[in-house]
Amino acid sequence: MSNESERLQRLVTAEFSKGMLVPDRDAYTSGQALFDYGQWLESVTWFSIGAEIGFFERQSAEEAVKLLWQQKAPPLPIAWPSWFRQQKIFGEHLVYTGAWPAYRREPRFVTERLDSNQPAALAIFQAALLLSREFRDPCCLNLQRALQSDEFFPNDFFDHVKGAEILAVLTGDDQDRPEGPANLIAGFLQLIDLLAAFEAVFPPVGEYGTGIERSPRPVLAKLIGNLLAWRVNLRDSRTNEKLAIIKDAFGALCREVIEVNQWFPDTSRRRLEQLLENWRDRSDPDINLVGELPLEPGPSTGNLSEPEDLKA
Amino acid sequence: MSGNQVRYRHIRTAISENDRSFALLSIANPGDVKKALFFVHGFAGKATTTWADFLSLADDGLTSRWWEGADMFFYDYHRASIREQIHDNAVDLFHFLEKMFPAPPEGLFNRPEENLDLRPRGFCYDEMYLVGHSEGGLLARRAILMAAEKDQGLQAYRNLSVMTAPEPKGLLKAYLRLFAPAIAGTLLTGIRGLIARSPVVEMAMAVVVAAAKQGLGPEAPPVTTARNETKEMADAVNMDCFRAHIVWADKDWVVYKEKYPKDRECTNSHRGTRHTTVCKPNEAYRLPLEFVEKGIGACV
Repeated sequence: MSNESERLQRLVTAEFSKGMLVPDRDAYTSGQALFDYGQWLESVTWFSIGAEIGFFERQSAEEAVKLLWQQKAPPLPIAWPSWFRQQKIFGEHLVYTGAWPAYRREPRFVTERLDSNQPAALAIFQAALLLSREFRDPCCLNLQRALQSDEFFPNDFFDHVKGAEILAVLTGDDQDRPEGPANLIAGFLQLIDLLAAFEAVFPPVGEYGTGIERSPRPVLAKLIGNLLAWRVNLRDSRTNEKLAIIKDAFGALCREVIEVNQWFPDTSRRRLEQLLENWRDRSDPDINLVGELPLEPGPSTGNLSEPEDLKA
Repeated sequence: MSGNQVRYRHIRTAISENDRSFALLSIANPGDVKKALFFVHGFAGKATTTWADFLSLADDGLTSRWWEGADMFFYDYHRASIREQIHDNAVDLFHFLEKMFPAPPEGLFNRPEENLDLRPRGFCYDEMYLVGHSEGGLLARRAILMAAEKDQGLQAYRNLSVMTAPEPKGLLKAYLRLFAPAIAGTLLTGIRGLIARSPVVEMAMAVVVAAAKQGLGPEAPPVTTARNETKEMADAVNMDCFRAHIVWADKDWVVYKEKYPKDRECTNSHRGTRHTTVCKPNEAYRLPLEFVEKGIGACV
């Protein structure tokens, strides 16, 4: 690798590292801290994949993974994909082979398909990384937390949200942004926008242009689809139940605001469902890891999985 | 760059004082980077989501090497686009553009503490492309008019103090590339506009367009001012910055499809494109990339 490539790797690594905060392990009992832990897990995994394809500096990625290994894992929300909750045990594989649960029988899958330092792969990775930051937008973040945890899902009525309340959420400053259903519907609007942007970067299978067999795009689509699935896990029934409530409220809002006499015209409803399905399908189905791993997850309690002390 | 098989990519860097805006800087040899491209999203849009997937396709092997010699600036004013007036947002854009073109701040390229050292001192761009989507198109036009008002040479020519039209300089060197611009007004504003711009709802607009009469209409002051002043300037001087190239969406329920007299528009809209997708290239829809580079020459 050229000195120039190494220099660029150091540069992007330094910038990425600035945004990585290791959560406070003493605060893991709160839902917010668990969410922070999830964001950290995600960041470390971005680091791992990025190092694998030559985007990030390998040494820094390995140090981040090592730090993750040293932390005791808290009980994690069962709304997250099981492999994401347990991915610490894959940490070593992630760095050295790029292995993911569904690819375990082909542990070198990623490195076989993606040569290091391919400009196109680096650009796609960078684009996805940029888009993923939009998940951290305050409204979108509130929506994710609410979908994952009952603690953050309001008991208020969702069918009386006014357009003005949504605008107030979107234009308000962080400290005085209204909470409740309006906040979640505003987050849903942003989520739709974000999923549509991801679809431009990672079109559904069958919509790729020519040369797909040589394109890193489908490989990265799967990797990054898996990586981000924990944020809005549409393979989780509880998440879908809550999302259905928000979709209904969104439909009611459309009816009120744009005076449509039905929930949505069929084309819009189909487009929404298609966006959500494409998001879900970009990730692998959750698989039962019990028996395949060197640990036995305990029974789940409420919204949390049992602690996973991987050093035990 | 010609003859070299290496594809120079772009790396993302933050822009200080505009924390949601960012730049994708070319790593080509500094002497080969002549162009600055500015992307301006529309009402309730964002710098990232509006322009995906310019973010990666600029570096794609199938994309023209023209992009290797360009830095891309993605300007973000998401919250201001919803709550501030067009005029205020145009002023902010104007200041941003002036700060970046033709002489961008050195800190953008050279930050020793972060190991960033991309360009020599005194680096300047030669060419500027101003790319707007929806209300971003209207802001772009307003920003150009502000530059024209500030340009003493141009004002002297218009006041008949001098007889020769000046060569364009500063922002007046811009080529305008507009995607579904709101230069003739929008059908919907406020919460209606916000909902209508959602990628899943815009198709519903076909049945509700008749109910939508309270937007940024063709006679609203921000629209008429931009139209009248641009028309006057385009009649007075032959500068590209007053003659935008425009591509419209195939189906659009958000903006009025009406250009200014000297503008040039693609007459063959890409089938199936909508207001929010017309500016989003993907591997199968490369028109937006070609349009930024070649203007309506890409629409043949």
